[in-house]
Amino acid sequence: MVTVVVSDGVTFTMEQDVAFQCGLIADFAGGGGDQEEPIPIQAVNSTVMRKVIEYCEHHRNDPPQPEVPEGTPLERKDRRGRDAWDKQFIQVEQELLFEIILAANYLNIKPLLDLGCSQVAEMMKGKTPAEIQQMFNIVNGFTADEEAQNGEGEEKARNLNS
Amino acid sequence: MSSVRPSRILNLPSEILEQIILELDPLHIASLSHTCTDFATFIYYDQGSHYLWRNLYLAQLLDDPKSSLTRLGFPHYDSQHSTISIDWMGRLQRIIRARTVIRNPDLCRESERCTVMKTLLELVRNTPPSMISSNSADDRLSSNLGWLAGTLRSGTFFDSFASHIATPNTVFVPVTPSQPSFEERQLLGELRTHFGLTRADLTARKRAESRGVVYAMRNYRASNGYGPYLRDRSGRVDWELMDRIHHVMSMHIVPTPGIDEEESESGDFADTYTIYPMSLPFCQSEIRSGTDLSEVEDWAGISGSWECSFCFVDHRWLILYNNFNLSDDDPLQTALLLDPDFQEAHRTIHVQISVTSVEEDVAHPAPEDPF
Repeated sequence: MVTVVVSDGVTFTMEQDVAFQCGLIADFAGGGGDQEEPIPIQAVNSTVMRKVIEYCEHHRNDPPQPEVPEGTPLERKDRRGRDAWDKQFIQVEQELLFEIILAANYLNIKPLLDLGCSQVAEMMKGKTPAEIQQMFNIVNGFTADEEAQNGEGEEKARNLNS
Repeated sequence: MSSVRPSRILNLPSEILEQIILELDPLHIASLSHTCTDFATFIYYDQGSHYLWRNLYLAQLLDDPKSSLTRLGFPHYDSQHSTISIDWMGRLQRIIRARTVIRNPDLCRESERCTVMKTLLELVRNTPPSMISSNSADDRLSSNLGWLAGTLRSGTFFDSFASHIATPNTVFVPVTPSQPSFEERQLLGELRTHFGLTRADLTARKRAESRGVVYAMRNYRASNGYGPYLRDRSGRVDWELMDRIHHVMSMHIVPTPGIDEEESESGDFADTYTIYPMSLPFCQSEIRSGTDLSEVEDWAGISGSWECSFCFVDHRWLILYNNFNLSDDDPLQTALLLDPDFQEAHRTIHVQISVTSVEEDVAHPAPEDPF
């Protein structure tokens, strides 16, 4: 068993095959064997950790992910375990989605990071700039000058698609 | 989302932002770049944006230009000897624009026709060689060619776009808003020759049109060496004529679904993905894996068994047809070629080719790189 303690002081105890899907924990716990002290994970809170553990438990029996060479087209990448469960799992409020992405990045859980990034990309697809701004609460910080420049850019974008 | 909270997405580490962007189509990325300065900078102006676009390019179903060879067997980009770095962004944007135009030819502005066709031709002309080995798993069909075959086949590009640029050299002159330029007709001819038969090519009318060009004696003069070359004595290929020859030959060689003599267009052909002879997948050199291209003469894998085909018509028909077309400039009168008694013969001989030496053919220069 592996025990971790997260930023708000909550401790979680998991079986090793669940915990070791987090590259960080696997590295930390090293050669195996039960840990005496809980592993501190300061960058993640208990709400997010609960989601992460839920993910790792679901995927505990997955075969190891093959190395994908850099530059492999996305369509050809093996999207391991990307099933209905994953799609359901990642349907969360935006705030939590970004927390999960950051946690997956910090804890080094590649498939979860990929899943989160895909979900954000999915939310952007087919949207106008204004719709993306609204969805992600992006403040348009363009100055008048930049607006003009942006006009050119927008022209460029229009040129690609109209 | 609360409107006072700062946007979470902009505070993501840049490598995560990049991963998200790499999942997007370049069209969506253009939208994203217009949401705020931070995204615009990240996408277009940052130090890392060169790598972002490189990764984005490589994430498409296209060949890596660095593994591609030109038609003369040289690396498309020689990374060791060339100081020119690849303009990944410009290249990809041209391709995406071409894709948009293929999907909807009505969007094509007259001023960009040439650029669109050159972009597509650049993809055809520069592909990695297909490696042949005893282990067939090593075979690599060029991604560029697969992309083009898929993109062009599903679109109405040739039937609609090309009708704007149809040869004004025949009786079937379409009413066009503007006459296509010489360059446009040449580019379209080259593109069509590489693509292979389109559905419109299967009609008896279109076939007679192509035969009309191929069998018109006026198209073969001393100025083009009596061959499919331009009449400026440059020795460069006349792609408009080549396209017609390709059409006439393909109709004998490609198994077409018996629509030969009918005006109606076949619904089956070109809807399902089949690799027909004389089409895009054959625009790739084939070499034995492990071959050192800088050492072998036969870098394109020419050596081997070939089928050499030719077509001809009875001399009486040929003379009769050309008697109707004595002028050099009038539209060709091709009605005769639709006569049920008109016959075209097709023969194939088997030849064994072996490459003994290779030298540059200065009399027939290769096309220049368009960009």
